[in-house]
Amino acid sequence: MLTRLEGVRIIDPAHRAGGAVRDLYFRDRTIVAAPRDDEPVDRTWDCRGMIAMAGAIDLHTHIGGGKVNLARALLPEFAAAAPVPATDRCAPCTAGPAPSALATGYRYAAMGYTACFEPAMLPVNARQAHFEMGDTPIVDKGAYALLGNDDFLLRLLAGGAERQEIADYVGWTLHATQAMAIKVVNAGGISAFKFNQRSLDVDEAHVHYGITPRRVIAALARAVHDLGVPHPLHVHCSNLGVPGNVDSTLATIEAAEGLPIHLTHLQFHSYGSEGDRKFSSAAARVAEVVNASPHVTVDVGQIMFGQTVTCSGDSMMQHRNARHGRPPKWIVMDIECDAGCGVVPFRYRDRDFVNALQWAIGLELFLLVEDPWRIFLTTDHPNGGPFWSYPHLIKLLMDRSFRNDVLARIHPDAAALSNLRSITREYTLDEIATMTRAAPAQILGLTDRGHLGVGAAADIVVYEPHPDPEVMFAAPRHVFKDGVLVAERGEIRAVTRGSLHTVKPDFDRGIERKLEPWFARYQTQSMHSFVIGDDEVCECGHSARLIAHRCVRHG
Amino acid sequence: MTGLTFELRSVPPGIVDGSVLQPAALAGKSRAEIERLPLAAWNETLVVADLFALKGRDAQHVTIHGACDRFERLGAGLDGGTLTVVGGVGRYAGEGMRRGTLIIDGPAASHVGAGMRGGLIDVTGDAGDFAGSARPGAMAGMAGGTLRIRGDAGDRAGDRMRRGTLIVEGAVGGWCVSRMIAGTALVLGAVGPHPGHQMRRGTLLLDAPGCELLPTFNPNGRHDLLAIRLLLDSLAAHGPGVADYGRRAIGGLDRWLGDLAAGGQGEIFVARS
Amino acid sequence: MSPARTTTCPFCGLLCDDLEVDPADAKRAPRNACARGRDAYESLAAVDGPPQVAGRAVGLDAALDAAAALLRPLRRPLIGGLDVDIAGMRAILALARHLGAVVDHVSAAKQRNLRALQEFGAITTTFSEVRNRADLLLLVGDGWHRRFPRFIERIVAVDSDLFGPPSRRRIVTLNPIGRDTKAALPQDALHLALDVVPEQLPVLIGMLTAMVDDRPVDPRRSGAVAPALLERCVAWMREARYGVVVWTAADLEGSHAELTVQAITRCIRVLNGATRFAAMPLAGTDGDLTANAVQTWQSGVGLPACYGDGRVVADPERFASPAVLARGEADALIWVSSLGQAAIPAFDAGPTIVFGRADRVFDRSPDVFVPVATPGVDAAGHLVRGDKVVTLRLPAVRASDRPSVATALRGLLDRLGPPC
Ligand code: SF4
Ligand SMILES: [Zn+2]
Repeated sequence: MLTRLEGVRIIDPAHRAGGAVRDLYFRDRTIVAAPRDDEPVDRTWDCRGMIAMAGAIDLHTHIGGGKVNLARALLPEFAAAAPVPATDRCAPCTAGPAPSALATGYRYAAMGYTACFEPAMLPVNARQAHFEMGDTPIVDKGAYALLGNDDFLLRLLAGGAERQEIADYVGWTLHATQAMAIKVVNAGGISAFKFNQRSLDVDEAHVHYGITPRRVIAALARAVHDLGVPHPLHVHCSNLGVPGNVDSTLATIEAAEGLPIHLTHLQFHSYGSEGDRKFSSAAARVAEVVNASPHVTVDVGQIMFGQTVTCSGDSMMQHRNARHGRPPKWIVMDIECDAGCGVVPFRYRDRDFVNALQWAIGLELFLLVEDPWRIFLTTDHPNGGPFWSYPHLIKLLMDRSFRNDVLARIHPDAAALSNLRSITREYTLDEIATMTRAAPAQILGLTDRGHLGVGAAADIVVYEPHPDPEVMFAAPRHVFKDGVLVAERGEIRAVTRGSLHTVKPDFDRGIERKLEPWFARYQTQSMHSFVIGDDEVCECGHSARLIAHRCVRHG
Repeated sequence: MTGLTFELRSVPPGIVDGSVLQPAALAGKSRAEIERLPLAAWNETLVVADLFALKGRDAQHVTIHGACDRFERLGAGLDGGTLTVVGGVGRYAGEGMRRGTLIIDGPAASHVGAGMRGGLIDVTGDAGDFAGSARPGAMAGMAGGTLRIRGDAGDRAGDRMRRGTLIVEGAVGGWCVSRMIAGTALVLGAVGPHPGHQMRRGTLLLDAPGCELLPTFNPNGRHDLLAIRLLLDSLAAHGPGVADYGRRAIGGLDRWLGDLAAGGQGEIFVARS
Repeated sequence: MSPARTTTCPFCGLLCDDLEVDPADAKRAPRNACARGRDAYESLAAVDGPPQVAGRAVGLDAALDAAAALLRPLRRPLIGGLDVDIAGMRAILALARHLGAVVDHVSAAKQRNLRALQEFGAITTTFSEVRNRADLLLLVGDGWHRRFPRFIERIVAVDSDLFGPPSRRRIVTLNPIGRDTKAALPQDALHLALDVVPEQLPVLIGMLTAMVDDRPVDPRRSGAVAPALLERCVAWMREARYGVVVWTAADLEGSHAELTVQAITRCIRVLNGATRFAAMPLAGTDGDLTANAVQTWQSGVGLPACYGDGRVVADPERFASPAVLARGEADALIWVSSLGQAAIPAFDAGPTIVFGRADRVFDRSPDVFVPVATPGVDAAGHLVRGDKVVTLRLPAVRASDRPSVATALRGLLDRLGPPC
């Protein structure tokens, strides 16, 4: 079926198409060139006066897996207060601070998002993550496997393993867990916490293995690069949330030794320790380094005022920060000599000094990092706030006077300590499209997403322009996912199944000769039980399509 | 003007949410409008007229005759006025109420006064478990107001209670004021096992001489505290039993501090016989 | 001879994946299964009955037609059992949404852990951490042996050298245990038996918590345990590098056992101020964790829940199946159960439709009985393991024409047509 979006203004930074008005065509699930004059068009949508962008991509959002489900279970009182009633298309569910998988898919799609990536899939919990993602309707999914606190890798590193062997193990993990990328969370720290170490700085040695986070990061960044995985090592730095952690963050950038690296929820890692309260913004320092380091990309993890819940693999820091949580109930888990997790609810308040400054730090980062191709729009959902606050966040970025109005309402000492008021930058539509579409697609290696060129997937969002960007971005006029109209003006029109993105790196299967006995000796499942096959992972997604991205090996 | 009265005509097939039958939701509505108000049930929504006959007008004084434990959340969120229920009520009567008076002339099922923040609930009969507590998952129970139960209360009365006053004139079941955060509870009858379990702060007054307390409560001697006297004076209006307890407290009450398994800043006072 | 194929046992939350299928005879119980597992495999291999309508054998289509005809006019079905795999649970929820049903899992005990988690939190650990790291285990009740027969063998009686030479584990049993149970403990472990009667467990936990928290309590007042034993236990708890408290919710006495779970968690929180300690609430049997996990991720709220009137509302008291049945509120009982053999409650207010294990026997024939495949035996399936984190795929050990729960319920849904 051939569809025409007539007379639409194209915002497509990947093709430097900033505002040209033309017809956009797609056939079935793919964008095509304008057809010959005699070819019949099956359906034409009058989009004159409207704006088309590619479907938005969230490269860091906690949408599935054990800790998200624990967060849901932890907060029944908020879920009960946030019912999502059934419609003729949608099943009833709830959208508390950790929304149900169903609500997640519906709301992302209604907002014009067509792909979402779960950034913290524990390898031993990968099946559950795939099942949850599989029950998340409409949007495409993919997940990053967590390494760097697993005893197998830490032992390899402590034993001085060869670069090749580490790459093989990383490749095997991607394969076995059907992951899309590799993430490291508080490198070595989650493991160290199990040995009762309560903090671990970048150059501090793990009490048992004797190795430092710096080595873990260097080894993993190298392995990911060697395997040719499109997405660089995704790093949650050491010392999350600790005043003065900016030094760890800058040391982490160094640890990558010039290899590509993505720093996630940078806001939580850009804290100084100046001032009376020993808490200050280090956003300017961090932004300066990021601006000067072309191998570094970042996402912000903006906090939004209100109730949320943080779910993180970082059991060490979650345990430490749990006393600040509201309501005061929290979960910490040590997991399978592989990883950990911590779930702590938070209520961010604009009248709270620390929260207010966190809010300002996030915005400073957004505005001070210059290149929209290297900074992505996230709230680290749900950790900084729910993803459905993105339209509000976009408005904060695009509208300086609005931003300053909010700034005037937050804790005055925090407002005074931030240089936000003096920053005049306002994001353009083109820049928003870059940071929410083109750039994440590029950094994830999704060649046919994030743009509107011929051959791209027909993931297309049509907006009605509105003077208030929050209104415009909250409920796009039409959302097409793989060519199917899935949402209009915030209402779901069709519930489709998205695809699952994975990578298929080349690695030496010989690594299994080491892994198999390791599983037999130390794990409580066999290596064979652990591995998730292609058919199986499709079954998790109700026969979802598997899109396996090739990796071009460097090492 | 006579109070608005609902007469039960037929018992619903299952549990219904009766929270709409209260002053704020009824004020300013015509009889026809009231008759069409929804009563959510399992897989259907009934309307008031399906179950009740209406009399009277004044929505500030609402009476329900013939209610039973199938009606849940009666008076939930009450924010003024008076709601009188003659007959029993289902779970969560007066949940989260802020102001006004809820009179339950009969027994109450579990969770009466759950999370209430103000106003008065007066139960003439017995109450089920979790009186003055909260919904599963919520962190705090009643946070204000007065919950008076003239009969017995079940287990976990005052569980997670944070503020306000709970008075039980009869006996309480086990685990009374478990996990109490703060506030005051007075029990005039017998007390079941484990009172004060994991109590953090707050005050429990008992009239059960020789009752067994957890070993994580330490005896702290006999006290005649001004604060307790003033408190009991202020409660004396809640009936002769309370007033009598107040008089006997003048001679001093045995004080226990605990629960030391949970920080230990709560206190249990026990009157001597 | 071809090598033995390994498989994973679905009959308790341990999901032992080291079972070996006899390549010559797939009907024999796999090797390495415990007695409980063996009995279940053998019982399932011994039967092969067709579906039934009112006790008479029929084909699957006829059974599903009959079930659909019975259900179509009804408005308040209760779906019970729920001891099924992930795909089965997905299908149950689709059916529940269609019918506006109440759904509840057969095991009520799991609520105790969930309630404590929801009102206080949790600090927990998983099987491989216990196996390699725990130097002290506090064992509540005896469910760790009676209900999870290979727990000690696979998780505890293992000398792990992952973090250095294995050391002798210390084991405290809190409640009295039988001789058999005691014999299951690893021979070389140091064992301290506190032996308090189960009703006194909350008191014991409180006392231990106060003592490890340095509160001025008098151990003599605890009554149930000699002060010297208490002091010894507290010393062990403080000396532990990684202590673990193990319980099964069904072992906890009384109707407010969630308070005991919270008390244990509080104790663990205190201990984590100085050392590392975690809980191991053993669960997972009869798919309790599986059912609740799927319900929670799909809807955002747990079980039991009601899907009536286009909403989903969870309420552990109102929608608990015994309460629903006692009020006479349900107009149909649909029992879906491919793993366990728990009794189906008596129900007279409408039809009883059972999707059950093939070897289920009935006192009174239900209106419809569809024997379904048991995941891990007659069909592949997925279950959440007893430590909540690991989900395993259970391959089928033998060919069978029993439909899976998912297949059978999809057949029923197709027949029910669009919702009225
Ligand atoms: S212990 Fe449990 S899982 Fe293992 S064989 Fe026995 S019943 Fe099966
Ligand atoms: Zn994150």
